[in-house]
Amino acid sequence: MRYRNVLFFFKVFLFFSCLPAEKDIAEIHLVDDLRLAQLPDSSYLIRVSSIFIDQGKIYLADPELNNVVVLDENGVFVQNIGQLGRGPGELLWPGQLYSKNDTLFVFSGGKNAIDIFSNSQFVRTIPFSDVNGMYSGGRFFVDSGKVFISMVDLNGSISVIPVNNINQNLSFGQFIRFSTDKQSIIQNHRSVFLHGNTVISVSFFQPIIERYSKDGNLLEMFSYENLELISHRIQNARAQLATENVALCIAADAYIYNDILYVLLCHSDDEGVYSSTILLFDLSGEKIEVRKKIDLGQGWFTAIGVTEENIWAFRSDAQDRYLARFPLKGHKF
Amino acid sequence: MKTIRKSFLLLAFAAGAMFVIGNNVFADPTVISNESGYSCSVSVICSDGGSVSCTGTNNCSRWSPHWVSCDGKYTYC
Repeated sequence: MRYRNVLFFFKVFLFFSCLPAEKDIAEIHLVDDLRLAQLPDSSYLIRVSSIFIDQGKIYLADPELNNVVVLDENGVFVQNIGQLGRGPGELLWPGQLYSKNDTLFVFSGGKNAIDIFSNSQFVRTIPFSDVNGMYSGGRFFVDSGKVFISMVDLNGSISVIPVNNINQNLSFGQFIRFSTDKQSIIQNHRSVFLHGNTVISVSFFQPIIERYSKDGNLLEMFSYENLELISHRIQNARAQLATENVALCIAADAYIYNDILYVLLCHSDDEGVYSSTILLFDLSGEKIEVRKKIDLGQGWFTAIGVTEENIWAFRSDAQDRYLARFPLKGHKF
Repeated sequence: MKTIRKSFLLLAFAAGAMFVIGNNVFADPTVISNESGYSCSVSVICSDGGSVSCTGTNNCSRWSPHWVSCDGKYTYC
């Protein structure tokens, strides 16, 4: 009985798996041409957890610095937004960002709230203390006055929260059940993105991408578990299911630019674990398709952001910490 | 004479055993996996007063007030 749900989950995986042969996925090796570790005020980037690029500005959330660093499109420092604190406009453990038309939304894990800044000036705070579910730490977006964010509880994995009335929130999204409630909530964490009129969900701990309508109907569920690149990792992740409060990362971060979803993978082999490969999924057609994979070289990367010309990625490992710029040099995806 | 031979054999055996142990001859080579020599660890205090922690060789992060992760393995309070 205990493993029946897990078994069902694996069957769903098999049913939805439809990947091309791995040899057919072209691989691109990129080399960085810029590394940024230190800021003009002599502070160092410590652990960038989110990169968001909007209107020529690169926003970096660093939970250790407790502010948002703004760079121009060339990587030149522009300003800091926010400072350490629990008050309005102050940030405590800023984890994820979203920006649209120079309005910046910052989720602070330590405040359990989103602070809104317009043209760098504080506007208001949206407290999430009354919203059900556990914030997953995943990416969120704001559309038509509503925050779409993964707040996981036993009823669903994605919440839609009106900015002006947080009590009227709705919940949707697939919720895969595991052995215990706690394990189920942890394993269902994800990031959500706006793509056209649809919501794209990228699971942290399962090799699953979902496409929903904005009112919550599941349109497509795509599994990439058969990909040889991550099969070793998935086997290890399944072995961890016996431990209630542990989960193995499959997707470290993701980003959508134009019609391409970039997923930064956690993958492994017998030698070790890596977070330096980005898998590209084409979202333009009726069905999600794997397109290419990008190798960023050595290092453990935690966050990515994409523009027409570059991929920006933050390297954070025991040997080095910096923001790297990888020119795409005419690669078209 | 017999005692001397016995002692010599015992000594030779002990020396051989020390060589084997000292040079880790029988050790699984995968145990010595951290070739770079780097390691990291991280922990958080949970709201119930307990804590969670982990160690790794690549990346160690406090993901939120409730999570730590080491080499992509996340542990929740």
